[in-house]
Amino acid sequence: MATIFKELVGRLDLVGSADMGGNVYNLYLPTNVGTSLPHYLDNQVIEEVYIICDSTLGDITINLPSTTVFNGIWNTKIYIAWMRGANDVNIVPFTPVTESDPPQDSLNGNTAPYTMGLLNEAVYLHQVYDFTWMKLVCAGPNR
Amino acid sequence: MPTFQKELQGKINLVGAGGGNIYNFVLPTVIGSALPNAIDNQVIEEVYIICDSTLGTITINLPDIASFNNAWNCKIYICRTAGANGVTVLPYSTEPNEDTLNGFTALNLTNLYDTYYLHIVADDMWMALQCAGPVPPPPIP
Repeated sequence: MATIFKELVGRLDLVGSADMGGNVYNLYLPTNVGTSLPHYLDNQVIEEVYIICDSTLGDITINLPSTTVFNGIWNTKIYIAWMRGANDVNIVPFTPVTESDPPQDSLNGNTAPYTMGLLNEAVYLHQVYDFTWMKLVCAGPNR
Repeated sequence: MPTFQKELQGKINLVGAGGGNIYNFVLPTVIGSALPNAIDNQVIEEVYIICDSTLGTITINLPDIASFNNAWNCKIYICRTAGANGVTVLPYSTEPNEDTLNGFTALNLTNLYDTYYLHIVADDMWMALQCAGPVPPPPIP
């Protein structure tokens, strides 16, 4: 494991659309492209990412970056909150498209996309192994 | 979002009382059982709240999420460690800044060793992750 520094925080406000398939957001590290996460800076890594979802106008799909881009720095935590809307919010682990792509990632061992279940649900993602995200779902207290 | 640094930790021991004790947490000012000050770009990172309800109920009023000034890095762990009375956690409820706990307006630590992990995930919502304590054994007949 690499030495980590707690420095950067990011927030993304995502909205859905009525287009076929909704709006799709691809999260990238370390390059800044579109809705991507902020840059790596030397030994710094983005520490916490807050993603606020409004699916009023349509579905939202969040394509996670490959865990390989973290280069062994597993300190990034991603919080996804479904705050508004009645359409789906989908979280998709990285899936290779070509043979040169990194390996398939999973959410607790499951390579299938996860669809958030209830409004006000929060999902906490944290890499815990090679190609593996820990996914904790918080649908509300006392459930 | 502001840049923040991991600097401060706090531990707070709360006890109940006959008729119940109410604890109000305030940021950034230190009032009574409040959390430590926010200092420049620092923010308290982790707060451990230990609840002993032997003598009565405990009510914990959380600070307004807006008072964190977008430094959402604060993690609050609340554990009921002793006592048979209830422990209740309430989000900030004053209009127009009402907060929720995953959409709920209160949560209860019903059983001994119930623990909640609270983390801000939106402008007006805490993620409340419950780690339930062991189920009490059935009474001996």
